[in-house]
Amino acid sequence: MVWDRNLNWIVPLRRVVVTQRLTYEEAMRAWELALRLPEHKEKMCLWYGIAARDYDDACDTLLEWRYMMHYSGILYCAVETTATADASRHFWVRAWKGPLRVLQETAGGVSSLVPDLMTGEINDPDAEFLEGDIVEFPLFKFLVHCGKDGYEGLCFNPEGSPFLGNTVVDDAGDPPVAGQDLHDNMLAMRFQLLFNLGMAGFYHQAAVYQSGAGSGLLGEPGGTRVYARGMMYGAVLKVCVRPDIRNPNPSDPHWLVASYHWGRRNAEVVPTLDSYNRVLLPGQPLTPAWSCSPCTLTVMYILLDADRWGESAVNNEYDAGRLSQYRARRLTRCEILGADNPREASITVNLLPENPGAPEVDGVRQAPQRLGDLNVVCLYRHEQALLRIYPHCRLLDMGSAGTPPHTGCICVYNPATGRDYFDGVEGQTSMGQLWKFEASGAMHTEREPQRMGAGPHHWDRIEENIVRFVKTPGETRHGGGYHGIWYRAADPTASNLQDMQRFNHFIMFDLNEDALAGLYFPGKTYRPIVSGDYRLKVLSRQRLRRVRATDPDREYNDYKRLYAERAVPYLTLDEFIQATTPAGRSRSDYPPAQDLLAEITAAENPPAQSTAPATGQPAS
Amino acid sequence: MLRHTVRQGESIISLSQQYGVPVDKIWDHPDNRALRQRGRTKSILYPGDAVTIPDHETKEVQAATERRHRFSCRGRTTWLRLRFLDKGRPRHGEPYELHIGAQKFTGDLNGEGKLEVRLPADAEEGILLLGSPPRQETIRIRVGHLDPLDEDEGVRKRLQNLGLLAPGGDDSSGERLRSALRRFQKMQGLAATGALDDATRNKLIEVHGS
Repeated sequence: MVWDRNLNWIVPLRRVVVTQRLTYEEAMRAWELALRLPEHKEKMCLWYGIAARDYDDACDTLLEWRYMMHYSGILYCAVETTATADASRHFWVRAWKGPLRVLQETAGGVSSLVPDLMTGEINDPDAEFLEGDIVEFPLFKFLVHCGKDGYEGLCFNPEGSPFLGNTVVDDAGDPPVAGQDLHDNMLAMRFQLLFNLGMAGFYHQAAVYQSGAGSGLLGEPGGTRVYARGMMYGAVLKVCVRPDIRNPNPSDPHWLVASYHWGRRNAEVVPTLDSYNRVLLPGQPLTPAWSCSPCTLTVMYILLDADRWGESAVNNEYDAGRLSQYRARRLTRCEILGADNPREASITVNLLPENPGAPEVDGVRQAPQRLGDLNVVCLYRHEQALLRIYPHCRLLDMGSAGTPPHTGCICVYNPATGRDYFDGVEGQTSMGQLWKFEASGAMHTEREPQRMGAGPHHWDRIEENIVRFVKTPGETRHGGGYHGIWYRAADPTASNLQDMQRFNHFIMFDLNEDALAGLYFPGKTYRPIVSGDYRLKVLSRQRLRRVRATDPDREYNDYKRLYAERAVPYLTLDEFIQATTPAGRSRSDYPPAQDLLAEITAAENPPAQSTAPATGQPAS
Repeated sequence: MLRHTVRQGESIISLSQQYGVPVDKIWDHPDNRALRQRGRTKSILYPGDAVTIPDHETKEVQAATERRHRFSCRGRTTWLRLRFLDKGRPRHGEPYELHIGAQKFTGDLNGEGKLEVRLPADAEEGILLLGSPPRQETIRIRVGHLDPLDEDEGVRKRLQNLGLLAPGGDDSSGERLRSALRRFQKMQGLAATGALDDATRNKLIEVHGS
């Protein structure tokens, strides 16, 4: 529609990605009109239990606010009487800067988007939103005007992230409680976070490298092509990493996106153009720093928001009580067991029998469960995640009547354009499109060198949603590994244990070793025998930390060089300036990139900061 | 005696200052009975109202020659009372800084979220800085610009102060006003009719304070 052509509703009626520059007033108008659409009104009234008349009145309130936002701050009064002002009924939005804005603000091309320090709201009615900015409308305030008093105490979380489902808190800064539910799509948001990081969205904010922990990376100025990439908070990323490498520090304010090769110094994991070119086809989206098992497990648990994901992930996976509380479709684990001869193992997703005891068909044993939206397939020590991704319009149809889509389906958008990443998904509203996510095998012990995180994570579209796996010719051993750790016997070797401990994985094995040949997961009783001594602490997901990328195996003395070698298709500052230089102005009208870099570097490293201990302390 | 046509921002109190005639003498003048009957007050008039201003009274003072005498004319001041709420709750304790003319008043809102200052009777415009930086609000104070409740404009301005209606915009049909009234009525637990009945009127006076 015309009025919302510059927006992409990543969460209906609540959160958008700006796809084309628009004014504050236009954004508010789009929200109001979207709320007034009959089909939206119907769903909202159903979900939140709102009377139609109350809903209309709330829309009228919003309309008044649209008029008022430029006039707020006038109080009419008369002498000798009292006049009362209540300016609390506003609808200022919360916004997060997109990468383009960061570049433009750096270049001085646009006025800065300045949020209120306490609420994160943008209370400048003359503000404009740019492509890639994420805007969240105060839906909770709208609900209050609908007569839903339970939402009265909510406000925006100034440190919240649209990716994490914590954009709204109550007066005490705590997450909303029951009765204050807001529809969201946390599954999609979490996936988006992973995806953005996987797309080498190495967003950098000035403070990221201010701490002592990052000071070693600063070094002398190097590359000058890329400066800031916007803001990206990642509170959910954690990969298994050996704690004796130089970074991990409980007080480190950053979350670690670590790429670690144990046993071999490779340099292909940091998502630079160089590493991309070496490992995969150009243009293929990657998620380095993941091995297959951490990848699949972490994807699963992040997306499901499962308790204590990443720590006892394997154990949790088999604890039906834990996962059953999530509305996401059943997490299905299929182990494709092959015969001695290589052949194609095929699963027709929608024809899968639900009977766990389904027989083999044409020599292919059928998976015991219907594939869900999130699936892990274990194929000879190598795991793949099968994710069903829907187009955005699915979000509006999600859930049964009266159930907002808190979780349940994955939709992916490009934060720079707000559009779907994938073509041809428009017709997949109901079925979705299956994609295979996969990382190279990592933790097995047979192949040398051992590689953890060394392999890229790539994905493929699964044509017609039919999953096919090709077994390696001559491969006869199967089912003996779990989450990539293959064990030779009931009693793992010391080497096995060491491997497992490092990755904080439990080994689960069947008490009856003989049953392995025909094993389906789950379906048997397992017993954990090992737990990791180097267990990474699960840090509070409420505490947002900035993401720092590091590769201990490569001498990146200058993080700017890392950015300069980026593989993401965003414009660099130089490119941006060149692309946006108006006719009649020359490149020399703008400050040299080196000067800007020096300014940024100086801003990032004030004298007081430069004396910080190298061991690293939390940034204030 | 003259007839004064009221402009926006004027009140009997400001006219008293302007013409040097006591407030009560203007207000109680028989020619101004119609104003009183229409619900106008000394504080609140409506643009276009006609006010009869009585003539000055002459006062005679005996004074000896060859001596210096001092006469002072007491300038009239008046109270300005403002109350600030946040979601209906008083914003007590918030610091304020009120600039009106050359005068500056500072303090904290009291427990009811109120500030009270004495102003020159002809004060008409001020700037209020409320709160502390960086969350300081700037509010323009339009003294005497509140219209009588019997006029649509008076209802609108009260609803605007309460954050229920925006200034400007087209509302020739009056639908926006009715909608705002309806929301006010719902908030106050009244029948949501959108009409300014007596109950709504009284509640609006009670909530707004005038």
